[in-house]
Amino acid sequence: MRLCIAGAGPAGMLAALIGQAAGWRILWQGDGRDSPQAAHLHLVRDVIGPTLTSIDADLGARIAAATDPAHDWRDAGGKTGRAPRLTREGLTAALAAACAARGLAALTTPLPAPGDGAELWIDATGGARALARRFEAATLGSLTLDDIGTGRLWRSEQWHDRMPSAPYTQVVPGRAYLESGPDGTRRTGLDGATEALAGPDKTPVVVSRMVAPPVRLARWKGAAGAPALILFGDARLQTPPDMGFGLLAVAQQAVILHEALTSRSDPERPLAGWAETVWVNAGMQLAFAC
Amino acid sequence: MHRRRFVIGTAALGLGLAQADLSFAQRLAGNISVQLEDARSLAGLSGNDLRLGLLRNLRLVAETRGMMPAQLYAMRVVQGRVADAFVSRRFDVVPGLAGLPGANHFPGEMGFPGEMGFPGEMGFPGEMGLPGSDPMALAQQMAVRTLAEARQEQGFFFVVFTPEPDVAGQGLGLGTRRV
Repeated sequence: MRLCIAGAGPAGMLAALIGQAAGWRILWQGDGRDSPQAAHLHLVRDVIGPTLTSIDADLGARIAAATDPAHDWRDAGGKTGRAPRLTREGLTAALAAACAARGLAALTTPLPAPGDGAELWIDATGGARALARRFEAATLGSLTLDDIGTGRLWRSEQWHDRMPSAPYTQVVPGRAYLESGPDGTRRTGLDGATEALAGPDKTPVVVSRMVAPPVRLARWKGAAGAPALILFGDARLQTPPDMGFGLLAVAQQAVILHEALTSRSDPERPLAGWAETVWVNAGMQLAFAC
Repeated sequence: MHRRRFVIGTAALGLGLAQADLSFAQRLAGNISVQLEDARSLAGLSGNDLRLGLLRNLRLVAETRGMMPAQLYAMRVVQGRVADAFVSRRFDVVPGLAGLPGANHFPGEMGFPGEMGFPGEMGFPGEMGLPGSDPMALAQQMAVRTLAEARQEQGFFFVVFTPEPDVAGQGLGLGTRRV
């Protein structure tokens, strides 16, 4: 049984780990570059580690090892504290190490053509939905994007200390830990309702603006006889960054995918049900926020 | 690829959040957004120069089934309050991209005081809303929220509504600085 996966980010790596553990032969293509979403501020909720531990104890241990158990933070008002902190980079590195430990390496060649024998395909290319678009171009199905709301403005801030390229840290004490992409990237700040705190000796400076996506649910309808394609991660559901839900959403989808593949059942139905629920709830959240 | 847009109806707000149901969300029949073509070309302008620049650079993007009547709502916001409100006479919008229908559908010089200058990078998409029974009131609320969300003390807001209840308008906010 061959499982073809496209996507270099956390969703792609998780899909590869889960598929391999379920006995699939993995063909995984990441182009070596993380998705544009990686350049946004990410909220790595503390429940992500336990969620992934429930499906992969080794991965959970790697995530725990990547977590700084006592990160010192200080807000612009001088308030200080200490809390565990897991960065997106730490999470990604833990996933990459788990993949490497199991011999999972991204292909250096393109994936086979759709219909070339693979039984299952997973699109984990984020908002690009590159695999779905490739399938669509080959008339193997159709993609529908259902949006609630529209792109909205979010504050973008960067915290500087003496060096303009200093790492950026934003912490919600005791609950969630936020981290940027690489230095110099555009970062999406959470709104004022979140108690956003800078790291030591850093001063918030508004540097840029960006438009967040609306709440977007992607539905894939395969043509008759077409190979099964599963949208996974942001490819299935996108929520505005201020909700801080993207990485947790990937972890929740991973649990569903794990249960389906290990029980030899179709993951589409439970993933679609999960996504519909989250989509409506996130839309409600937007409505309440207005 | 198909795109569909939904809005959450206020009737849904009183319902439980646990169960997914498409009936919570209302499918939009169309959308008209106001966009700024070249914000940088307006950098440093104020007063009537800014007004003329906006007349040249504002664009209407209509995703509608066909031609329909519409009205432009323009607001000037100062410190969280609507200082000026303007609504144009009706004009026709056609699907696709178009400029403003003309100067007589746009606020006059009085709506652009000389001390409000546009820095050039402060144009941003505003909220999207359905016109409802009082589009002027809605436009004013959207203007205040959009500027507040962008942390702008003063600026302009533009949105176009049609009489169609299921065609949404997406506004454009413009932050200004005192010159």
